[in-house]
Amino acid sequence: MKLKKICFVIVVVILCYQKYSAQNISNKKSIYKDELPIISDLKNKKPWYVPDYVKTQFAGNIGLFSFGVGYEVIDKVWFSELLFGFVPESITKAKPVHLVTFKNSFSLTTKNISKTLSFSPIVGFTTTLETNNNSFITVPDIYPSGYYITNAVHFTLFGGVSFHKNFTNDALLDGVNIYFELGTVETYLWYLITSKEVGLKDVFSTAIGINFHIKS
Amino acid sequence: MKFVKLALSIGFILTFVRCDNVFDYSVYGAEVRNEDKNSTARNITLIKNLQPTSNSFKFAFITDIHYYYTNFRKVIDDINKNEDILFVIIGGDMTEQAVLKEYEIFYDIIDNLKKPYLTVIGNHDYKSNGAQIYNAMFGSFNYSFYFDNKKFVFFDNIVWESKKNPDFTWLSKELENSNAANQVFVFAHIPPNGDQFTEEMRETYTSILENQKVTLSTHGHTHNYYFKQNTVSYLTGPSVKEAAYCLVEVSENSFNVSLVEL
Repeated sequence: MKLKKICFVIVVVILCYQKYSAQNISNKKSIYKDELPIISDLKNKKPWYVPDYVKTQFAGNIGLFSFGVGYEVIDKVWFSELLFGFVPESITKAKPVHLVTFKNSFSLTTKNISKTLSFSPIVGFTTTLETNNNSFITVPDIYPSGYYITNAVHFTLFGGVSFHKNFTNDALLDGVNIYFELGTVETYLWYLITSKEVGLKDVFSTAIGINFHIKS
Repeated sequence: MKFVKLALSIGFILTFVRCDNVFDYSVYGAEVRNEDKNSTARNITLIKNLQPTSNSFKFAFITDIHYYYTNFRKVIDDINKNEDILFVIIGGDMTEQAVLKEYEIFYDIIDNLKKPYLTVIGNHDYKSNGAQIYNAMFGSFNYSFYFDNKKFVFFDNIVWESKKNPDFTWLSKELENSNAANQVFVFAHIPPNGDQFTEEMRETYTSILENQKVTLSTHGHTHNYYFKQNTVSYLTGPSVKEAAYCLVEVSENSFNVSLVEL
């Protein structure tokens, strides 16, 4: 519950900050009378830590819902995200799950469908951390050395498609990405590879998400 | 409009590909499929309906499956071929990380077994939410049943992962009430000389078994075959990793153990 509130506050703060800083930059008077601000220059004024987009995802082994921020590390190619996901007790049938996820997606190519619409095949991986379900980062002292490895960290791998819609005259957003993924967890993938008893349908599941690209 | 159509059709295709779970929210879920629930009770009913065809019957003992799924299937297929084996006992560590997916893979593979089976929980099966999953999928951690005037007792003796001491009081009481049985077989994942037992626990366990005249105490955990015949005999089964299992032939007042290596 606490984590959900924190996630919500973070997203709201980022959105407000983006809005404020965008207005601030556009209101700044140039020291040269006739000089107009160049958009690309203004883009570069944005501090590195201000996210390029906020997002939410449904499923994908990183929470029932996950919320977070994203950065375009390489324009239209490499996207890095920090997400907070949760699964309530009513669904886990155990303790609620709180996940912190670092997600990286890579756009393999971009095809334009129309002037404002494009789609990209994507691949990527996530690293998740969860410590609320009898899971430990470092193996408790009670166990002899090498008895277990951590069960608080997992990796997921996924592939899918992402659709990007540009907004030409929206005050807040540059555009949105809607993406669909088919993914699995490293453990499941290992079983799929090492045993014919485990099939594709046993290990793969789907995820849907949306990224809101904030105006710079 | 075109965008919406395309997005919806892709979503539709992805959502309805034949995944067991269309959506997975995390590896830590513990929601057991309805058809997998309470399998211990169902299997005990099946065993009680069996009739030994001669003066003796056989049961197989498989243990420490972890993620050796290919060999697990091999062992199951071999047991299916053997008409003499009436039922199978799994000595724990059915999973590696005790995530629900592993329990489901175990369940789906053992579905190929044409005989009833029973389980005892292992230390690996306790990890994450394994205890809740085990309880929903199989049932009680400690339980027993009679078959052909023999008593079969299943005892949870996991210490570190369960964060509790084994319930020796339950074991003692359960064995005290075994007068109707001419032989008593106990199954617990960790052998008394195993790493999780203190000297005191080892002493408590062995003395209860001696006092109650238990025939055979069967374990897993070490992944190695060991058998010592005595007043109370001790058997430890090999891991499925070695594509091996134990066969126990039970006669009226005696039993025989053999190792099957595939």
